[in-house]
Amino acid sequence: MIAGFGNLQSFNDGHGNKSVSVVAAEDAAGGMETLTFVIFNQTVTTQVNFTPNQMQTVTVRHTASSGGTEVLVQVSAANSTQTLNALLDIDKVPGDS
Amino acid sequence: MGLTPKNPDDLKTALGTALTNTIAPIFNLNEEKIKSVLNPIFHVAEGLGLSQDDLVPKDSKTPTLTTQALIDKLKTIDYTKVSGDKGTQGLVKGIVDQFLMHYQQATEGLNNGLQAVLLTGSTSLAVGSDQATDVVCDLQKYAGFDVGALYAPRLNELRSFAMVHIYFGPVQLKTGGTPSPGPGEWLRQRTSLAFGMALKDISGATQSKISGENAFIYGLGFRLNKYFRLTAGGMLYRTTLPAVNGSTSPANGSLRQEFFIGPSIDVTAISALQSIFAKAKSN
Repeated sequence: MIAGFGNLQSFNDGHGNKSVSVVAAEDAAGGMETLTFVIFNQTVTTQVNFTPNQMQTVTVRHTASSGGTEVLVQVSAANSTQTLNALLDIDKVPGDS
Repeated sequence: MGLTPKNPDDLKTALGTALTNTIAPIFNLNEEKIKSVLNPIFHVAEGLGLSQDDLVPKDSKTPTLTTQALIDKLKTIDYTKVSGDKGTQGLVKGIVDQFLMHYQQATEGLNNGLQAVLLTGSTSLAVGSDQATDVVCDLQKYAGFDVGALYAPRLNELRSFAMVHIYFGPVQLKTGGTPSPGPGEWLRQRTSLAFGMALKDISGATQSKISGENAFIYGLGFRLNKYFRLTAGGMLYRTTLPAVNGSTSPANGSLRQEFFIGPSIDVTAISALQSIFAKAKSN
């Protein structure tokens, strides 16, 4: 079961490749976990395998657009109460102020 | 330097912009504190040489440290105590660094945002901070510039005019917040010496006795309120008299004067015009 999330971030290379990532920490059980990202108006689900107590970065691609403003991005895991929310500008490319 | 807001709408916009820009880091900061940094799975307490109970007591579940105190402690975190694995250390460091970054953005964002919108740029509220505006504000205490219409009964003409009203000392145009002056001071605040130029007949007189369109006017003004004034005095003009039976009057072309009275509006008391004058002066 996922025991915690951290460092939720958004990336956009300016060439149509947009993604969000999160650091997910597994408890002592380990196993396949289903993570759901709600990126503004788009939902992306991914399955990731975790070893017991493993911490890893999970990244998903998306095509949502925020129009240059901060929008809510949420990540949650199946069978876990853990969630993490962040207000992110998902259109922001490196170098944007 | 007279730092005064342009108007409440500008202030509202400026504060709104600064607050809007700070909402995201404050929101993220709170989320990261509760759900990540203080989450025992990331072993931040160990990195700080504390127990998890020191950060969030099991019985209360309420964080012991304020955000500021937690930030201070995180500056001394030892990641080797978080985990023996370098990769895990790096991931926890990323979580802590993001938390520190959002704290900085939240605290500095409001200060910098307010500074930017209050003191610089096109939305600057410091309208009185530039020298030109100071001159206008100061001049406004001693003189007013009016436009209006005056009526000369004997000429039976109504003319538009531009005038300068010179006060008998500094006056306070702002209403409210000032104690009621005595009768003498009240009169001094409202009366002024007026000079100006009548511009153009606006009553449709076909045979004006005024030679040309201009006439010099002088008199006394009485300010009714912040914007409006009543002025009365004399109008000096060079007369043009029609020839009678082919002979021109000897008074033709002579300098004459007539009584006039008329209302006017003080254009320098209108804040929008005041800022225009300030810009024109600085350009």
